[in-house]
Amino acid sequence: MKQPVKFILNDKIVETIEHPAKALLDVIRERYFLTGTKEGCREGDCGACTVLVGDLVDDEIQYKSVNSCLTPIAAVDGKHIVTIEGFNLKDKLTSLQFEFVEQGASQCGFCTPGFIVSLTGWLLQNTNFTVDEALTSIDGNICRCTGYASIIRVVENIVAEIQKANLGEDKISNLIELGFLPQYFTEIPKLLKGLTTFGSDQPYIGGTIVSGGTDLLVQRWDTIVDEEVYVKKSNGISENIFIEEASIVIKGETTISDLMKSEIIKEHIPKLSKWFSLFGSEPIRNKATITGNIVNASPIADSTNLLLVLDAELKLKKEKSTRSLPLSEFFISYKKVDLLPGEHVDAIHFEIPEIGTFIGWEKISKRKYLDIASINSSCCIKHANNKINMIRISAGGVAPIPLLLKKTSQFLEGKEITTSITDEVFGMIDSEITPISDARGSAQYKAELLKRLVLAHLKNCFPHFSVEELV
Amino acid sequence: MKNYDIHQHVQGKSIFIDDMRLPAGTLHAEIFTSNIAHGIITSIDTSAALASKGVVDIFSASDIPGENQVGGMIKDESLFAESEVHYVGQPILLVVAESKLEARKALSKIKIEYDKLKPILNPREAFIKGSLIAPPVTFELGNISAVWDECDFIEEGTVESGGQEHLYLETQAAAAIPHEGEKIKVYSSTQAPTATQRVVAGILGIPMNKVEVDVLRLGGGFGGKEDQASPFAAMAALAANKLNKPVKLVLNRQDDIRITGKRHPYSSDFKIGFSHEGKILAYEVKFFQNAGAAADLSMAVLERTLFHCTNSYFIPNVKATGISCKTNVPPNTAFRGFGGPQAMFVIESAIKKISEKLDVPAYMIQQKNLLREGDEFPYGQRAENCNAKKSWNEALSKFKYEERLQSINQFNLENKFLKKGIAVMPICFGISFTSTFMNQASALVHIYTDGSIGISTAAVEMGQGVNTKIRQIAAKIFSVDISIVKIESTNTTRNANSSPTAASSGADLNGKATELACLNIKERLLNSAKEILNADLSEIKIENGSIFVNEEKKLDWEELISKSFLKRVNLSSHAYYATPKIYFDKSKSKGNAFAYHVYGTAVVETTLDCLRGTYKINSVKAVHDFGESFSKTIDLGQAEGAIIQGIGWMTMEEICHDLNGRLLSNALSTYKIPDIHFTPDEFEVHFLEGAKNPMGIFNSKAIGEPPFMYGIGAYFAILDSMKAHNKNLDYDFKAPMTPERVLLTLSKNIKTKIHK
Repeated sequence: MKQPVKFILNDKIVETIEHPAKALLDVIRERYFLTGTKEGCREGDCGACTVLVGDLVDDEIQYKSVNSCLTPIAAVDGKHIVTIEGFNLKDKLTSLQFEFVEQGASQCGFCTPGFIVSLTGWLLQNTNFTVDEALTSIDGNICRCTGYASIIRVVENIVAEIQKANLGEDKISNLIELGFLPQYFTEIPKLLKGLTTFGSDQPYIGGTIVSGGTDLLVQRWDTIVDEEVYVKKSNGISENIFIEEASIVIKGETTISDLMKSEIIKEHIPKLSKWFSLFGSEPIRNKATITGNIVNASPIADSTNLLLVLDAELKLKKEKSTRSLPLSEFFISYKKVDLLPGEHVDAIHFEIPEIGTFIGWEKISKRKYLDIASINSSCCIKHANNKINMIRISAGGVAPIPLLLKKTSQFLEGKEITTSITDEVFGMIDSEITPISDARGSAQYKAELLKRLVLAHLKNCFPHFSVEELV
Repeated sequence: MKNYDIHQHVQGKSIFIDDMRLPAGTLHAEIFTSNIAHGIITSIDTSAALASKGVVDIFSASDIPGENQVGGMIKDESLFAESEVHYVGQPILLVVAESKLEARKALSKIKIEYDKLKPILNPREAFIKGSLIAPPVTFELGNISAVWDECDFIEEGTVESGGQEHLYLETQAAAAIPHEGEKIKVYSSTQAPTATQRVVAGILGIPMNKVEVDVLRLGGGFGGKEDQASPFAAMAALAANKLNKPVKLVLNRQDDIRITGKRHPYSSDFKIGFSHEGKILAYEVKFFQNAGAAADLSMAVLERTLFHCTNSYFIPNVKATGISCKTNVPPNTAFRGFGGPQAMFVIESAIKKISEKLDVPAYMIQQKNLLREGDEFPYGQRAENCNAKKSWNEALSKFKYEERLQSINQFNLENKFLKKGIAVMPICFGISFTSTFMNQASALVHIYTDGSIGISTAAVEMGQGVNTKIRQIAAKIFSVDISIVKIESTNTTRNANSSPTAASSGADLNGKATELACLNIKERLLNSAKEILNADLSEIKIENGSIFVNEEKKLDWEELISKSFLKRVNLSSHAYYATPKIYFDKSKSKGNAFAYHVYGTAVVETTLDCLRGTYKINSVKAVHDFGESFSKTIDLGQAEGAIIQGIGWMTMEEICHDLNGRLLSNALSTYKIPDIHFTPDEFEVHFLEGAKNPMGIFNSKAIGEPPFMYGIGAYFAILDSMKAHNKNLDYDFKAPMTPERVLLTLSKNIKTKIHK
């Protein structure tokens, strides 16, 4: 099932006919011979294939970094794709490239284009420039040679330069002026606006739904190109997350980045954006959808365990019919969910947390950033006078499904938190979980870690709780 | 000096094998491998795969015209398994198709059956069962058995260190193009073009002069492409030879991780005797090396383990035994440090034990036993220009060690969940291939008639900046601008019989060869200038691209070259260098094995979250002996990269197998290496002053491997944090120190229902 795709590749409009789920990486390397974009892992874990996707949002062009190995080609229809070659100036290096050379921030060179693309993307999409933000933009880029020290020096120098320059309103022109971008970038918004595409906004008629693609193209990149697929497109933030009555509604195609940037989320779950910096990497967050994270049904999904303690409900849609289902009832067994053929998650609802409600999220992995959790856990507590009135604790990675620790939560309800009850809590936790040993840790580790994370939740909610005695 | 290769890297213009524009009609290969760790193949059915769309042919051991053998040091490894398979991931067949995807799809259509045999995964089990690569090797100094009685204390222990995946960003890759007269040209991502040439020739059954191996650059090597690039080159060459078409073989990441060998895991026993003042008198150590299913470079790695068993310390009585154990995992191979890190981890663990026994901080024991000038190593060489104490003293004073210690103690008094730890890690690493014959290199220098210079050496550029260093050497000797010096690909037709670019020696050996070649031409040029300018040799000087007679400029470089050419002066030179003065008698395990040693000292600080079992490496500061670096940006980058790689090995990088020998950590999602957030907030590498090295090129020292071993300090700093939480912590010396190991160790020491 090939279909035509039209997009701007660096400074040229291109048109090709491809299977819609073919990886953008393969198209740019094999069809356009732009080999600066590298295949390092084909699972979004190295960033050597990073490209920028530019999209018009309210007449303004917004750029995001994505892993081209996980980007279905149909998703870039009508967009601006920038590869490393698209930044090159005619007679000299860009200011960023120059700084990489100065600091020796590249050794074997295989990962380098990805770093340059991600960092230039950061320059394009940000307004306040700090070292921390710059480092976040390259949290999905792995380098085996440099130990990153020289790359951090590059970042520090660039941040200082940009802060001094004050990019102001006309950022793209200023970035061109400062030697970070080639001239043609000013022409892109006009070019994009005039671009008539083929495949946008077709209704769903069947086939595998490909949304972010960040898991599907990891698991099935070689076979998905033989399947019937429907590649879904994302829209802007404001339409995706909104308040309806006393509930927060998150539309199915909302990306993790959208969620982190949402003003509504920032107001009601202020720590979410910090927590979710541990979710994948920036290019993954830019594409991975919250629905994908749920429907994938991984027991270790980072967002699912938070939504579980928020008592979220799914709005499921099939053609014109819809139904609601509590998230906690969605998961049947390992990777099996209550979803009918042709049905998809249209939206996620949960009540706005009352003021004073404690919400906690914990994730432990072998590497803190860009790693899959050994286990994760969320907790929601309503409390007064050191007593728990309501508590929901969830745990990922300790059962075949994302788990609500119902018995443990029930036990804690109405309790005052002291160290005298913890052995009972631990016993309760053990009775509810069935962890297995795998590459992310032994069953024993997962069980012990979960108990400690529950202690961490309780400690964060009740600072006087003297956990110190227990560990 | 900046690395000039970076100009291309930052623009995405650097070409790796997968980026090459190969001739139209190039075919693509994929490898079918064993999915069991040990067994006998009873049947293979390739009919469905052969009928699969796009498939051109499938090759097996029986298609090999030469010898089905890729072993270098010991001939014990086949290219394709014939009947018995020895590890999960062992190549059995090569599928060749019109596209990579078609080749890949055909793999799943191959049917294979085995009679399974029980695999051996643990080196000690292999030892007990007599499954060895070669007989054990022992290094001895003094008389260990006579000294035990004189020791005030004797401590014993067991130390385990894990494997490590190289994770070069460019996977193993090769492209083979058939040429006329049964010749074949192979582009390979190899650190060892000559070894690759030899293996390809052996597989095809043709003389080496019919195989040309060309290497432009590698997307990282770290030892993983020293011995293990050749089989993939041979597979591509076999298919190209059989089909008379170009064939490309680029491994995808999961296959690369699954098929190739890693750093050797070690399990070691030590016994250490010392005085009540902490002076080490005797050290006995036995290393059980997990070699995997074939020898590969294991014996050389093992030997280096023995060379470095006492790290940076003088121990008068030593007995170190190395046993290379054959197991059913992919053959383990070279990896930065080459057995040295595994040895140093054991002696540092033993020192930790001493410090606990005597109840003094470990750094006092380390300090007391540091090597001094003239001290004898267990292999008989004496420490010359020894910088052990010098770097130690400078590190401790520059980084205010005592103050740091105090502030850490204070922090630990004030915090219950968070505990800080600190460790000092000195290193001493010998430079030279321990197989003496390998310490040779050659360089071919041409000056073209327009004055531009082209250089070919045996060195392979893999990010370490060797090409830039060689350019610098030529530019300095000729005193011309570096921009007119170009480094060519590494090619077996230009430099034959070369050693791999390994053992940190690439710049030393090839730099010296380049120096000699340039000096040859320079001498001719000076004589030519003498005749052209009718001046005395002593009056002529070539400087900054001009030729002076008594400080008066007479000619441009270009003029000198073109005039010399017309005078029929040879503007090319091929020079050869062999490291002088080194030798090693393997029968006695004694000799001056190394041209020199590299020293240094690092201080590592960590913070531990005792509730969650997670940690942060806060600070790594080192004073490192670079000799007199002539390429500081490159050398600094090498040191920083090596340190983080070393910390990765000691902390998060964990190779996991299941009980059947299947690799669980088989992708970047399950095998984690340091990312940018992992880099310590404080990260400083200082150049040790006054460390001239007459044995190195321009008085510099080799840099690739030695700083890797500072990473061991991270292990002991984390351990120090854990002991700050629980002084009587019961623990094992086991690396990597993953968050899991930290947490389970902490939990084991408490009595609540947290720990079942």
